[in-house]
Amino acid sequence: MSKKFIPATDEVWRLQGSDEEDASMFQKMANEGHYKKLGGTRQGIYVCSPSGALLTSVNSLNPDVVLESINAGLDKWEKLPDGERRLPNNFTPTVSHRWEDSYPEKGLVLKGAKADLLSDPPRFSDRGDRWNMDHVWFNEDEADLWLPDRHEVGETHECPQVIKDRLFRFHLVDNVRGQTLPFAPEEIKIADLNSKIVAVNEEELRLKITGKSKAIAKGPWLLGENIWTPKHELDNSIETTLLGNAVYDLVKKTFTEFEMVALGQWRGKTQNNGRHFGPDTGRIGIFYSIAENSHVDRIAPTFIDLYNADWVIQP
Amino acid sequence: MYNHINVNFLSLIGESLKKLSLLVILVFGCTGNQQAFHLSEETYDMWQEFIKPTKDELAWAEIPWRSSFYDGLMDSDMEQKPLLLWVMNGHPLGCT
Repeated sequence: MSKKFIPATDEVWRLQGSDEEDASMFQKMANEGHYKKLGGTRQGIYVCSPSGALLTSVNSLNPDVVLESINAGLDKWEKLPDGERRLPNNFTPTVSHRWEDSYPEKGLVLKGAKADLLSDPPRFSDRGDRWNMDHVWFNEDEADLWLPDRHEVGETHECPQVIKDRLFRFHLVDNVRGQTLPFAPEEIKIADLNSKIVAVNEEELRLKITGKSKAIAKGPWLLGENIWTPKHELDNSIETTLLGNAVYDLVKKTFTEFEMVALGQWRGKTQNNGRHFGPDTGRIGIFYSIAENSHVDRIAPTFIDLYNADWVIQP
Repeated sequence: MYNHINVNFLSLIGESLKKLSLLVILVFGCTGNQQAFHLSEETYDMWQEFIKPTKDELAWAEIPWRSSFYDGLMDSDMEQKPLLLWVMNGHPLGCT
């Protein structure tokens, strides 16, 4: 596919709402696309020219339907005049804001995977048809907040509120099957998160991480008017237990290893989390590890606009 | 009198056994629930392996995706290939 196309992905919210030139080009193109109407989400797969000409588009979970659309787009490209295969002459190559601009270069960036758990022990034959990813960002100062003050074996450390908030409000959420909502501070009922030094030498600290959380959202939305404000009252919760291991390099002053498993039980549904046709409760598994410093692992966390961190550059 | 006492005594034993049985069921039942989906040093690797996406599930990530529409437009223009754009609520490379 990469031989015939330039494959690209993006978050659709900025593209369908911004007035910058690339976003305007996308909006014009998407208005001609598969939704056949103005307004609403513009999710999907588009084949287009850098001139902004829409060739084909579709939004389907059926791979055959998507393949047919892509091939039709390629056929149209082949017939496209040379003049329509170029960026517009006056195209302004600037994007004033992306959340990825706040990527914490010297911080701790975790990559997560989320899956439904249906049995114990788990059977791969039971693995659900959906899973999801996640990225968690801590800047350099925040990364240090995982560490006990004294570097001695046996030292334990309760992670401060900012670390607990980051994890329990924005990341230990039920979004296995689709986007969900974050929790407000007052919806976090249990927030335990601790690290313990299990080994130390002149070069590194080895840490054990333990924790548990309980978040309950019941009633009105407590996070004000923003892009996440739901159209419904809330009635969802999640309880988790956590266990993990990490290695902190005392010379480089950075984590070189970090992994953590969380098992949880979710209850209730949110408007976009894809649970509407399933049970009212279930088990969830979450695994975090250090993300590689590649462009695909620099994608901003979903709820970064609510991180409320001074190092996050706002639009 | 004795008979009456014996009857009551046996009845008492019977009730006690019922309560004991119920307690055993509850205790073992609860213990079973707590142990299911339990996270410990012993079960950590098992859960980690299951939660991590499989190779098949990550096959799409082998594609050299540009991570923005903007980057895709630039490369599409430069390499003169059509742009295949996948956009979602939640960046497909980060949170689908």
